[in-house]
Amino acid sequence: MTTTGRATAFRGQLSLPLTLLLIAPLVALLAWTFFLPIGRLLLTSVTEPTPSLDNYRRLLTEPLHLRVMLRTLLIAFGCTVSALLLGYPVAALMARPGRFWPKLTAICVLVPLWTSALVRSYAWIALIGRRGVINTALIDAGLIAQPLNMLYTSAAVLVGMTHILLPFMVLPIFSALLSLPADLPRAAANLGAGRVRTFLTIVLPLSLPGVFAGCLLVFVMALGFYITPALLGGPRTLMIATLISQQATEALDWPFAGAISTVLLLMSVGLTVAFRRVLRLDRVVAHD
Amino acid sequence: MNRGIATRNSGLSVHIDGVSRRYGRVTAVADVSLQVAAGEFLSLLGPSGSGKTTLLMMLAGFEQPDEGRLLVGDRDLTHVAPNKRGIAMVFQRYALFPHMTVAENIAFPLRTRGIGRAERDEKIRNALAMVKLDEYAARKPAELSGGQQQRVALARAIVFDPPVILMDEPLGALDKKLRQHMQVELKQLQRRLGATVIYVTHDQEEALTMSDRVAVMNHGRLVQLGFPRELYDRPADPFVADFIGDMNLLPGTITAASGSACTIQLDGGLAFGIAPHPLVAGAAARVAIRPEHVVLSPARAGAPGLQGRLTQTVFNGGTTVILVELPGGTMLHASVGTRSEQAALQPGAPVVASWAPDQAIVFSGFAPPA
Repeated sequence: MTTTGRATAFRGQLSLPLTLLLIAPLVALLAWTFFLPIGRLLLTSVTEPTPSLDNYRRLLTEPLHLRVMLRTLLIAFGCTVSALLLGYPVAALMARPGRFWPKLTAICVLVPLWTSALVRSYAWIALIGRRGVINTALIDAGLIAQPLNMLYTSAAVLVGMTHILLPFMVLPIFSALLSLPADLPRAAANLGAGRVRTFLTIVLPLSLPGVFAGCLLVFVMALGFYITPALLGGPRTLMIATLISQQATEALDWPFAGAISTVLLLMSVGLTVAFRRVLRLDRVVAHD
Repeated sequence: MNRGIATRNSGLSVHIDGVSRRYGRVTAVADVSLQVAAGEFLSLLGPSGSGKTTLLMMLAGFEQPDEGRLLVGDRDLTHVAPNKRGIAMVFQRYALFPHMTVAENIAFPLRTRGIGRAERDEKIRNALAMVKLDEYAARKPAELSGGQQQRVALARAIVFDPPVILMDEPLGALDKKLRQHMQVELKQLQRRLGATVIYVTHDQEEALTMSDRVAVMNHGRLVQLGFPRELYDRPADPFVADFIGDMNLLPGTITAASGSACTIQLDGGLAFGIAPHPLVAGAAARVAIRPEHVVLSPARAGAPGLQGRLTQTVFNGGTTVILVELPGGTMLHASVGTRSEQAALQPGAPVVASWAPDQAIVFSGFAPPA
């Protein structure tokens, strides 16, 4: 209530022409370096080699490409689910009263965010590679004779991506839990609810906006993830972003790369819009 | 099935037995013992930080006492989880579940008790009728006014027939008119239910109006426990005297004492009073006298009382407060009827203030007012 009030109050302080003037440099920069090239790439998908939808027909009829898209969706979905299951308890720990545990958890969540995804992906290679830390340890312990094939599998991609995307799940949920008045779980307990019932009927429903926001962030980011699948995945775990890169840099088929990019963009935008619908609906329900 | 909440069995007694709670070096509640009778309306009254809320939180089970025991009826609740205590609490900011309708909020304690649908619906209807919100069952809390949310919180607390209801400044967020209205309603509701109510407030007027008895707390200690009239007429110490109602506290020296009656030298003259504890001549003391007991008259040579000068009259409606400055600079308040002769005295006039000796209470020492 107060935040929306403040936002409306602030909205009146800058006139529209001044606002436009202030954002003009950024718009110009983005237009030249981002929107124009992207627009061109997307446009070539319907103009080259001939003005037609052939590129899209090819993408949607070739089983290989359909498999890649399906796999991307599945991995993004798996990532979202595992990030949610792993991230919710972490967010809950961060939102607890007290000092030590919330602070320590916050540090553990935030520090990896400041490390590049490339470094973290290489770290996974060092861990799960044929001669990686885990295989070496298991062989030394005499538990296995041959190194396990962990790297270059779907599981490796899933684990690596979940790890990198986890903070984007934790932070929105943390924020939702933090804004939950402490009186509500107390009232539930006072009225006879045990911990499980209090969580299921009070805490979880009221943290759903955070859950939705986290899921949306993770899912959309996972759809277009490039580095981690490229490093940790093998030929059988090809994902959309890797496919685009292959088409553009190896096959030099830019129009087809543009077609795949368009589909990826449409999926992301479509999902965001759909989720926002859900979110807005929920806001009506959850806010007092 | 026809067992409506209006005919429910009465409340249970509450026994607070030597309870203490410390946070590090700070003692929030210090060795408080208190017996609340079944069906009694007892207020815990004190300034913020006096430990009243901590005591309530311990009764609800959200805080654990370091020492002492808490009993409801014959049952020792000291180590019982909050959700197993079966006593209701009304929170300061209502703590309604924002994602549930009014009916769902009220249904919550019934669901946790596994009460079947038919009985649940009946109880919800009864509870809503009791707080006069029959039409609002399907609304969300955000769609209600503050006063209506308050009633929903109340309905949710009484719907499961709790023998004891804890209230943490439940009217604190309402405006004055509505608060006074709710005070009356709350009191009527409590009488009808027969439940024991422990009511935390910092508003002494509210405590005096609603309570059967009032427990005054200060610095974590129980300072005085008594009927509202008792606290007003016979405060046990200067803190209570100052906290409850308006009170003049005038510093002076005992000149003569026999039994409880004593004479005391104050700024502006000699005065009389009653001491709750024996005092000796020469001791420093303070006289507590209510403004409405101060009698003012135009100054005459040799008139007994305190000589002073009228500085200001403040019109308050039915009463007028007269401010008198004593020679040493001490201010004395007198409350007189607006139509009385005293109210006609003009600022600047020399006056004599006096009172009936048994209206003034003499406390020894100069304990600073909290």
